[in-house]
Amino acid sequence: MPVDQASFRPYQGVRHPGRGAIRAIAGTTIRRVMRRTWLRLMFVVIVLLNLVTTSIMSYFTNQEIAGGQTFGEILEQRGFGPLDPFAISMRGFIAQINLFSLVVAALTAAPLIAEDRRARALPLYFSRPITHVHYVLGKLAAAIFFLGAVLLVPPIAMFLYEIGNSPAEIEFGDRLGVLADGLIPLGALTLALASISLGISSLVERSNIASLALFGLLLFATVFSNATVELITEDPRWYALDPFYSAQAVAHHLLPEIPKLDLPARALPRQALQIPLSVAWSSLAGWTALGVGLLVWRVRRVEVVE
Amino acid sequence: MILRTADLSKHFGRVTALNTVTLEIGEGATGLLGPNGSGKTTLLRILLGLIRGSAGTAEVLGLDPQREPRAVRAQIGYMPESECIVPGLTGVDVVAFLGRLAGMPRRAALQRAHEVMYYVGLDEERYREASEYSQGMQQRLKLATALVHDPALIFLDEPTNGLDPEGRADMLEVVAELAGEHGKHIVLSSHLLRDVERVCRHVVMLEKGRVVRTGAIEEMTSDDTGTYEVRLPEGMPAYAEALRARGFTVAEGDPMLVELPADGAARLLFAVAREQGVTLRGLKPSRRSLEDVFLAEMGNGDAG
Repeated sequence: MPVDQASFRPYQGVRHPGRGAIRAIAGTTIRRVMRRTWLRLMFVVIVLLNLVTTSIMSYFTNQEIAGGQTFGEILEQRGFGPLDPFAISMRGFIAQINLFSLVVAALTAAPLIAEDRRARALPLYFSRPITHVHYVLGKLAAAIFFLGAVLLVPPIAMFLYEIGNSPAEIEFGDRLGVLADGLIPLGALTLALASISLGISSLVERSNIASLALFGLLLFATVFSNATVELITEDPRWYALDPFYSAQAVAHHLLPEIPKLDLPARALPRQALQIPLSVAWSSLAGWTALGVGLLVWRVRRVEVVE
Repeated sequence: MILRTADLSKHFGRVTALNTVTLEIGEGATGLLGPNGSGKTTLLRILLGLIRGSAGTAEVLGLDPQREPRAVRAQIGYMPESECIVPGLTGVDVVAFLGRLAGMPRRAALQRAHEVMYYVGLDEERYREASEYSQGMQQRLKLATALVHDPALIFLDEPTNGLDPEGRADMLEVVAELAGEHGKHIVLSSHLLRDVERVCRHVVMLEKGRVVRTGAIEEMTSDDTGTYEVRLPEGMPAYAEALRARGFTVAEGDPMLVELPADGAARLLFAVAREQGVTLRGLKPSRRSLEDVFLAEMGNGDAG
C-alpha cells in the first residue's frame, strides 16, 4: 500500500448530513440498473415501443379512418358533440398499460432491495447519517423513475403530439385537464406498483426471485379477481383486487365518456368499468400501503439483523 | 473522553449480547478485544445508534447515540466486519456515494473518493466493479468508505479479516498512521491480539458480553513480579551462578530472565556484574505479552 506516496488529507468542505441523501440513493440506484447492458437495452426498447404504440394510437385517432372522416368527426356527426381526440388516445393508452408496466416493474423495480440485501449493503447505508425514511424514499424514487418512463411519459408525449395535430377548437385548458385526469390514475398505479415491487423485494435476497414473485402476485390478483366474480360472487368490486383494473376504473370515472362504436381499442376493459370509484381508490391505496408497510418493516428488521 | 458507556446491556431474546458494560475510551487508538461472540460488534452498533441498548447509557463524542444517532454517525467512519458492498458500482463510485450519504456535496464526494482510494492503495482499481474485488481489496475499499468524509472517530471491525500477511501489515500501517499522524480516534475491534498490540495504546477486553479488563497496554503488560531481561556477552555462565548464589531466580537464555528476591533491587544486578567482570549489554524490566494478559483474563486459551 503506497502510504508513503499518498497522504491522508483532512476534508475542509461543507457537510449537510441527510440533505441530498434521497437523491443520492435514487440516482445511484438508477445508475446501477442502467449499467447492466441487457437491462438498459430492454428498458430502452420497452420505453420506445411504448412511445411508438402511443404515437400510432394518437396518429390514427387524428387520421381519417372511414369515409374521409376522423374518429372525432364520426362521433360529432353521430350527434355526440366535439370530443377531444386526446381523450380517446388517453383511454386507449390506459386500456393497454398492463404488459409494459408489469415487465418493467418485475425487471427493474423488484430487484432493487433484494440486491442490496444480497450484497449486505444495508450496514454501509445505515452507518451514514441517514434514516430508514431516506433509504425507502430513495428506492421508491428510483422505482418510480422506471415505472414512470412507461406509465407517465407516454401520456405527456401524446399531449405534446396532440397540441400540434388535433382540432383547434379544443381549448388548451380542456386538453390539460384530460392530461391531468389521465395522469392521476397512472400516477397512483405507478406508486402502487413501485411500493409493492419494493415490498416484495425486501423479503428476498435474490433479484430473480423478487421479479418472479411480483409477476406471480399480480398475475394471481388478476386471475383470482376474475375467477371470484365470474364463478363465485358476481360482485364486480372484487375486480378491484387487480391494481391495473383499479387504475383503469379511476381513469374511466375521470376521463370523458366515449360513446360505444364498433371501433377497436377504444374502450377500457369491461371489468374496470364496473368498479366503483371509491373501491378503485381504496384498492390502489391498499396496494401502496401494503408495499410501503412491508418495505419499512423489513428494512428496519433486516438492517438490525445483518 | 471520546466515548463512554454505563451499565449498557443488550438482549436479543434470551441471548445476552452485552451485560452491564461500563467503559471509557479516550483519544487515540483503542483495541476492542474479545473472542468471537463476545459482543464487540453489538457494542459498536449501539455506539453507532444502529440498534438500541436494552438498558444503560452510552455517549459518543458528547452525544447520545440513541437520541441523536444521525449526529453521531455524521462524525464516525465505520468499517463493518461482514463482507458488504453496494452492488453494481465501481470502487470509486461506492466511496463517492457513501460520501454523499455522509452529507458531502456530489463533486466534493467524488474528488475525495479518488483521494482516499489512492490513500488505501486502490488507485489502479478505482474503475473496476467493486463486486469483482478480491477480499483484500474489499477490505481496503471498506476502509476507504470509512475515511471518505474525514470522520473524527473511526470504528474498524476486524479490519484485517481475510488479508494476507503483507496486506495485513499494510492495513495496520495505515491504521497506525491515521491514529498517530492524523489525530484520528480509532476503535479497533479484533480477536487478533497482535493487530491490537501493534496499533493501539489502550485496550478493552470483552468476554461473553462483559468487560473483563480495560486500560493501557503498557500498564497491562508490565511485569510486577520484579523480573528483568538481561543481555550478556556470550559465555558468561559465572554471572548466572553468582546471581543464584545471592538468591535470584534465573532462567538462562537470550535474554536471561532474572527475578529479584523480595528485598532485592535492580542495582544488585550491576553490582554482581562488576564483581564478575561482566559488561551487561542490556537490562530492562521484563514485560508480559498482551496474549498472556488476555489469556489470563479469559481464563482459557480459546482466543487470539
